[in-house]
Amino acid sequence: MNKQNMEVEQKQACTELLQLVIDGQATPEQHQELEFHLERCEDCREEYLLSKSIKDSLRSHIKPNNSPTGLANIIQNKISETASLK
Amino acid sequence: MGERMSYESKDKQRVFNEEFMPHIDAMYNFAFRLTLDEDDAKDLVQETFMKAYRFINSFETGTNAKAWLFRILKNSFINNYRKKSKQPNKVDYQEVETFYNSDSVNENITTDLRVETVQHLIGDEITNALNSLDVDFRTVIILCDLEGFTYEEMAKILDIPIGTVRSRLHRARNLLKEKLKQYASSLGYKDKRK
Ligand SMILES: [Zn+2]
Repeated sequence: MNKQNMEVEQKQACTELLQLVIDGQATPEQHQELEFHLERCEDCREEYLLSKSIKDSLRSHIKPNNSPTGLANIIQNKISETASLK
Repeated sequence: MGERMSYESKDKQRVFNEEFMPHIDAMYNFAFRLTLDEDDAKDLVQETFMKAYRFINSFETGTNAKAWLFRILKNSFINNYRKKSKQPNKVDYQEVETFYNSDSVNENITTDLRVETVQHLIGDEITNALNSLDVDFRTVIILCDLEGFTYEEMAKILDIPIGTVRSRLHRARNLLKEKLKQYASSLGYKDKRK
């Protein structure tokens, strides 16, 4: 395998690991592995911070709304109707 | 489904009220973010709950009701809205099957979008960037980042393998970064390194 291929493979592994950690689905070992790698790879460190900040922004800016007033009632009425038909 | 006992009709309503109704807000938000229209979202939620009631025997009490409902909603959305749209599905599934095509590895998308820039963006800009993504890409970001589903739950909701969930998510995020970068530069944020 030539050097460029190895770099690409390494980058893929890092990106997969980053994704798992950012989404809170990494094992403790994977966490450690990433931490260890981030200490010596500036690219991945930047990528990690950026991805994390985008995820945080999405969560803090896009707040859930309540469903429109009356929607729950409409649904429950329809269900009662359906149930009583049986 | 196998030989599961079906619910008595009184139990049906109890299960419906206790397990399904508490998710109405989350369902409405998901529906709205898919359709981007309040009336369509309301219709979609109603339809989903009616279907949930009809197929309640295939729901097992104690399992993840939210994921189960999201799956029904997503399927209804595809049936009702995607058919109507003239554009064929824009996601090239072949392209996302592999986690990294050589493109996404080499194009170092992120280097000129900075953390500080992201932090300066306001809610509308983030929302617009998300909404501008093709619905398949938007969906994985909604499910993962906003709703906090695991990859495994997402795979069930979307009926795709976990590997595809992850590759699509990866691609969706790159597209989102690209959009945010465009917003940032149109708003005049300066890249300090340039
Ligand atoms: Zn690295």
